[in-house]
Amino acid sequence: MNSRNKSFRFSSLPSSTYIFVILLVLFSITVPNFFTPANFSTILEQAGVLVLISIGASFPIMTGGIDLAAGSVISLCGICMGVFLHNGIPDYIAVIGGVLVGTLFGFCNGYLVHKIKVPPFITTFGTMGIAESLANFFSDSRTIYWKENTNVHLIRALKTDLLEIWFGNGNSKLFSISGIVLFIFLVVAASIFIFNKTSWKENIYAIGHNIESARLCGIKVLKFSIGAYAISGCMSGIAAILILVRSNCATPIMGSGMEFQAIVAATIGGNVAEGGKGSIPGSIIGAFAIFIIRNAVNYLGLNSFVSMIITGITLLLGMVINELIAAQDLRKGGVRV
Amino acid sequence: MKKFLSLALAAVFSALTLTGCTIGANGSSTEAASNDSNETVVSAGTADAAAAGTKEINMVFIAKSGQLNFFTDMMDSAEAAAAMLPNVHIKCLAPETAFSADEQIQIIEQSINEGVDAVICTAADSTALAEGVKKCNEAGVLYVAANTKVKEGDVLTWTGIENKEVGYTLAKALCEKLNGQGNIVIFENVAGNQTTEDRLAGFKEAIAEYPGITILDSQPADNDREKGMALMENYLQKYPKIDGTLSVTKDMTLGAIEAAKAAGRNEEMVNVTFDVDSDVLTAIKNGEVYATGDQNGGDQAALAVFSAYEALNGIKVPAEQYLGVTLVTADNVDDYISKAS
Amino acid sequence: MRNNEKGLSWKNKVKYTAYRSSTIVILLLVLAFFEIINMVRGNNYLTMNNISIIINQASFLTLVGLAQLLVVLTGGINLAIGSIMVLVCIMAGQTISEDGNVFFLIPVMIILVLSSAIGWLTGAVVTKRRIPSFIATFAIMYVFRGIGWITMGRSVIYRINPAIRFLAGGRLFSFAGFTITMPVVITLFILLVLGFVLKKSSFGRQLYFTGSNGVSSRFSGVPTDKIVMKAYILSGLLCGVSAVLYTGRLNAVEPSMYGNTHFDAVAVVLIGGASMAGGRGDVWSTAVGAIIITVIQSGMNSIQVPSEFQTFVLGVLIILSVILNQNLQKKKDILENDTKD
Repeated sequence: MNSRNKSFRFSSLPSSTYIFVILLVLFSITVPNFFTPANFSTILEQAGVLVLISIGASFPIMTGGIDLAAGSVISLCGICMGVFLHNGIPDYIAVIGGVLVGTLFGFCNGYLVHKIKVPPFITTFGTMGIAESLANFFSDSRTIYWKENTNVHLIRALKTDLLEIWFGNGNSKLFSISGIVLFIFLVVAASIFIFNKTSWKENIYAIGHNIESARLCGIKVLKFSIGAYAISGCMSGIAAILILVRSNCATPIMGSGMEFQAIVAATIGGNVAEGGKGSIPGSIIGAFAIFIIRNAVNYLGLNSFVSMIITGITLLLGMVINELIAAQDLRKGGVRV
Repeated sequence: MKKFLSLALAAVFSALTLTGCTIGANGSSTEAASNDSNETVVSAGTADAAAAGTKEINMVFIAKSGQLNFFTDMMDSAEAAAAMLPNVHIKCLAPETAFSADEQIQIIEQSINEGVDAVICTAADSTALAEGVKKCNEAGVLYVAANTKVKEGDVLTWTGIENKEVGYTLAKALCEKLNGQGNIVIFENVAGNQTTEDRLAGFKEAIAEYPGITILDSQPADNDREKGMALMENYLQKYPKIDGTLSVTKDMTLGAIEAAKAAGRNEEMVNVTFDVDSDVLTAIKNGEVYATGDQNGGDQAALAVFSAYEALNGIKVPAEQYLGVTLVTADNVDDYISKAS
Repeated sequence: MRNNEKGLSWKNKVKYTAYRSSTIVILLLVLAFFEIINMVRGNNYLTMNNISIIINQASFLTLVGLAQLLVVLTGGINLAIGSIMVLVCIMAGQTISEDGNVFFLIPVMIILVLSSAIGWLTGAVVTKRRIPSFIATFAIMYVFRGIGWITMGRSVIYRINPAIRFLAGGRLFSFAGFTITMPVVITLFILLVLGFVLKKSSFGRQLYFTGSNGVSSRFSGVPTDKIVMKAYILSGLLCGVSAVLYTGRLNAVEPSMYGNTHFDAVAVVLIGGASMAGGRGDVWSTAVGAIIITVIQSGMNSIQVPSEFQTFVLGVLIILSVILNQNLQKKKDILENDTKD
């Protein structure tokens, strides 16, 4: 039979798309000032951190593991970068150094999980505390800041507005894209490209499905599985850059709690706990979905705890939708590539 | 509460009238209106409220955390203050992750998009929020620092208390009570917090004046009752005799008292802490806590709102407005209990 | 020493016992470690008093550990433990406080019923909708925390019913410097009952079977959904028991409490030798796990490790002890296989 079933399948889009659209429509109707270009450009910039670590969180989840240390690694990388900058090191080097720290940390996580075989939950649970301690140690539990000197070109460059559209009398910005947004876009595009176009995708899926058979198939399991954690650490480092740039200082609790939001976003995006499937764009859209909840709740002036409730319900709803889509897939049959 | 608000309103009206006279001061701190909760009633005179105009004013109040009574009280006061002023709308928000400076900056950006006229904020981090202030300055939005200062940027005014002085007063009260002799332990807050650091500095300054008093240990318990309890359990294990405890905020002390009770050692120590709420007031009445301090965050918030309102109507506001702190002990605790209920 | 047909040689028997009680081995190592360091510094760490304190503190930790164990045995995880504890106390409301003036069993019953109901709800979400326990319990945690904050607002409940406080800390009797407290008795009781249920009842056997291999157990006719449901209900019930005891100890109910309890419970269970994949773990090892963590924390305090460093050490020790546990279990399995024909 050569005729493929050409009807639209829900599973052709990442599952978080539906939740995102539902929330978007809901908020655009109920919240004044939400559906405005100014708000969207703000969201683009603010959600960057969450988007990046959601991408980072997807990789370990796809291999059937988890990275609970992501938030603490953000703090650690941020503090390292802060300390470097404070001591006058040029910003390019400081930033690269911070990201390297994160990647190295992620590598250690992966090593513990896949070489020493400590279950990922425990490993990252332990390293979460370790990273947090180190961040406090290096910063003496204080905020670190640095002088506005010539060493911070990169940071200044990231903060400038690249594209601005002025409205009316030119006093209120209508839409703007800052260097940060461009930066986020580049990183995201690179991640999607690397994941889809290189052998990463198939290999990680295979490892997630069944690590033993993957190994028997000749896949370099260690390289990809440890790599998944290294990527998560790397993303934490890059996310730390964003926070650093926006607040112009580094605090030892910069990233606390973010790992959970990342895991929620990745899960809504279709990265399931058993591993073996999932998508990066799914995580990205999931991250936006979660972010607009908080954005909308703030606009409404409601208690931030309302946002917690809505996020919890969204998560459950997202899972139900995931399940329905999977069921529909099964019914319609055929192999999805 | 009502007494203060009418007091403050009188202050506002009098400020409006005073603009008639040329003050010419450049907002120097000699102008600091020390609004202690005693009689600083200025003759109201002809209140020129009509000069306020009919322009709609939007403000936003951003607390550090929505999880502490202190800040929710501030939010209440800010709303009440805004309600007293004509055509002022205020929204009170707090970051989802408590003490997250990044989230506060996000809220500021959102508010600027919405077109607020003034941002009143208790900064989670005095350095990080400088970015938020800058964004306000660029957009022409006023920034008022309530309770916590910001290190850089063009801030309209700051309302709050002098934390170092607070620390000094509290520690001195403890040392006096101990007759200048004894060992004490200190409970700190999350490090890097300007408020904590100032209070600690005040503690140490006072204690230095009493050579018979030794600081056994000083560690953070993150403003949390459970952690305060756990820290006290550690202290109790390490130190066979503790004569007194000093804490920068009350939750930690209340947790510590439970640990001391469980070990049967709560009689041996004198506890001094800071901030007022019904639980600590009851503890003072029961003799479990010796003294606490009342900084009346509500006043700070309300004054911040009023200052923003004045500035938006072209009235000069002093750069720093100190509010007084009252020491609450068993002597005056009854006044507070009736006030709090 | 060779193994003969009758089983293991005596040397291997010793090894086998050691591997089986891997958790106790870790406990002894940790105790020895801190005792030695303390002796070097001239302190006596393992005094009877200290041991009673450790056992007392560990009994609280054991209870939440057991609540987590039940879910971990099914191959899942319960992230909602802390939020359930807080929410049921908030829902019990004033009945739990001293002012409520009700017989203490009423709030206790309310809490136990509510927490079991929530356990049922969690189980339903996990089994009926096939949502992984991590996600389901995380979502429930978020929702309940939000509800807890909004319903409770800023009113702290404090001064808990004295009978409940007695349950949480009353001293029963002491001998030779070692004090036995109510929580220790309660926990022992629960350990005995739960241990019996898990090892001897059909529910227990089916639970272990389901946990270790869900698919085959389902095909073998084990009603896996019902078993998992029961496990979650039991977990909820234990959360309720923990809630009563913890609240009695802290003498207050605030919506922010127990924010990390689920993680502490996981640490207890993991050090106690349970496997996240399910099917492995038992109540007594969990209790020993709780003791180990308490010893580590109190030990670090006794040698005055600064608190920032303590998280580091705890993290490292958790990873190390799990590695050790896994190694020992593997060696035990090897020995077991050796004796089979």
